[in-house]
Formats: sequence, C-alpha cells, structure tokens
Amino acid sequence: MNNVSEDVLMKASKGDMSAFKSLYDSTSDYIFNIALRITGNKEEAEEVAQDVFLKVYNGLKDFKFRSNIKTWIYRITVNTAINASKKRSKETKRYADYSENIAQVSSGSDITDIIDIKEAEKDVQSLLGLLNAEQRACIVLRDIEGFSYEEIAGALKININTVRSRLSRARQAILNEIRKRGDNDGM
Amino acid sequence: MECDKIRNLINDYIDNELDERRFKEVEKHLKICPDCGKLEKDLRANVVDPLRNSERIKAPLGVWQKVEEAISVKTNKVYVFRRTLGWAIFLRKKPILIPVALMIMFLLTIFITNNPNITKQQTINNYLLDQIQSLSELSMNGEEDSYGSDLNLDTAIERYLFI
Repeated sequence: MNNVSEDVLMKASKGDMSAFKSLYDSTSDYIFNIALRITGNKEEAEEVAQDVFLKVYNGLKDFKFRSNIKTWIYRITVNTAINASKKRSKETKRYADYSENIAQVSSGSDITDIIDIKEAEKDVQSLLGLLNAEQRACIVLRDIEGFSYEEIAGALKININTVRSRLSRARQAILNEIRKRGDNDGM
Repeated sequence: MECDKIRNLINDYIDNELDERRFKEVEKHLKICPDCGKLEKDLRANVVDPLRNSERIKAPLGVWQKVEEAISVKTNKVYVFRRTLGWAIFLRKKPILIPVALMIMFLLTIFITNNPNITKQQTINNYLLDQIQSLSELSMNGEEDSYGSDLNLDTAIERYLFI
C-alpha cells in the first residue's frame, strides 16, 4: 500500500472528497485484490471494496492518527471480505470457478495490460478455495501482501500463534491437494 | 522427533520469522534430511512462490463512482437527519410548543373531518363569483349588440343569474 500523507488523511477525515479520492487511488488496488482473493468472486469483491471505502470514509473522523492507517484499512478489508465470504452458502461451487474469475478480471482491466497468469499460480488460486475464509486471509496477507506474522496478528486482531497455525494448516492443505492431484494424473 | 520439531518451524523458516539460532538449526537439518528438505522445497515451489509472484489485479473503474454515489446519498441523509434533530432540540428547549402544536393539529383535523367539501365548495364559489363578475361587466356596457346580451346557451349558471 502506498503511503498516504497525514495531511491528506486529515482533509479526508473532514469530508474533503478530493483528499478522499487520493486515499482511494493509493489503496483501491490493494483492497480490491485482497477482497478478490478472499471472496474468489469479482462482483462480491467489488461490493466488498465499496463497503470498505464507505467504512473508511465514515471511520476516518474517529481515526486515531497515532495508529497505523495501513493496518486499520487492511483490518476493515479482511473482516468485510471474510463476512461476505461466509454469507455465501455455495462456497464450494463458487471456488470451482475461482481461477477463471481471477483470469476474467485480469484480462478485463486493460487490453494492453493483459496479465498472463501462470498455470502454477492458477492452480494455487483454485486451491485457495479449499481453505476457510480465515485461512485464506492469512495466506493472502502473508504471501501476496507480504505482511509479517506480527502485522497479520495486528490486522486480524488475533494471537500470533493463531497466525502460525492458520498459515501452517493452509499451506499443508494446499500442498496435500497438489500431491493428490499429481498422483491422480500419474495413474 | 527431530523432524517433527523442524516441521513445526518450517513455515517460520520460509517466512523468515525465526531468530538466528533457530534459523540455523532448521537450515542445518534441511541439508541433512531429504524428507524435510523435500517438504520445504515443495512448499516454496508449489504454494508460497506462485502466490508471492502473483500479479496484483486492479480495481475496476466503476468502484469509485459507486463509492462517490453512496457517500453523496449518505451525506444527504445525514443533512435531513440533522435538520430533524435540530427541530427536536428546538422543541425540547420550548416544550410548551409541543402541546400547542398537537392541539392545533387536533382542531384542524376535526374541522376538516366535519367539512369534507370545504375546499371543494370554496373553489366552486370562487368560480361562480368570477363568472358573475364578467357577465355583469358585459351586460353593463349598454350596447344592444354586445356579445354578452346575445349570449344565451341556457346553461345552469345563466338560469341562476337571469331568472
């Protein structure tokens, strides 16, 4: 996430829409990306992103500027995405199309900037569907956003050992599935 | 036993979350244990690296428009709420106005209920007065061939005026 100056944040907290647009421009891609990886669905990720920005807009006036804005926005994003994901009952079916969803969004962004998703990455993305929303959140924050364990614990307001166990179980589950698929292909 | 301990630390090792002593301990074990070494390589190659190398997907352009619209709607609602709140605070400061307002509303309701045609009747009366006035002006100009004197369509209003 790009750094946002305190001046911009102060102005945005007072309802200045051009300052809030600057905040949006600095954070929207990160927020949308996390929402998409956790929900696995483009429309839902868009709704999550809108919801997050409304929460940020409403919460900015009460935001304590000594806290970390990045952690605060990530926390809102992850919690909103997890809740949206849990609301959906047909999780298994949705994740069957996970990698296709990601590919559609990528190629739809800009015709000159079509992202070539590697096969290995697509496989892993589809395997994210095997995880529960909390495990996905940990994996996304660690492996895509590059958070430390401590930062993940802070963003999700959980114990650092819970972060460890979620990451460990998530990675092991993905690896087991890959090995299983490899065995089936070899048969 | 050594392998179990190392496997519990393997994610911390991959994520560089171990202190130096433990890091070296795990590193040393991975070099001499083929199973643990394979697990570490598999995790990196199949799970960690593909995600770390994944592309960031840009937010669609329409998201900002929807956010802006939602903020605008919310701001208007807040404005209406504040005005309502302002009235509530005003009435709280002048509590005598509440029973007075209620009494006026009550009396008006009774009056309108008892005179359902009050507004309708008033409109008819105004119309008739206008017509009377304009017909009177026509008949008072004294000319025999005036438009008003020849006009006789035998309407209810004419019967009312000239009988």
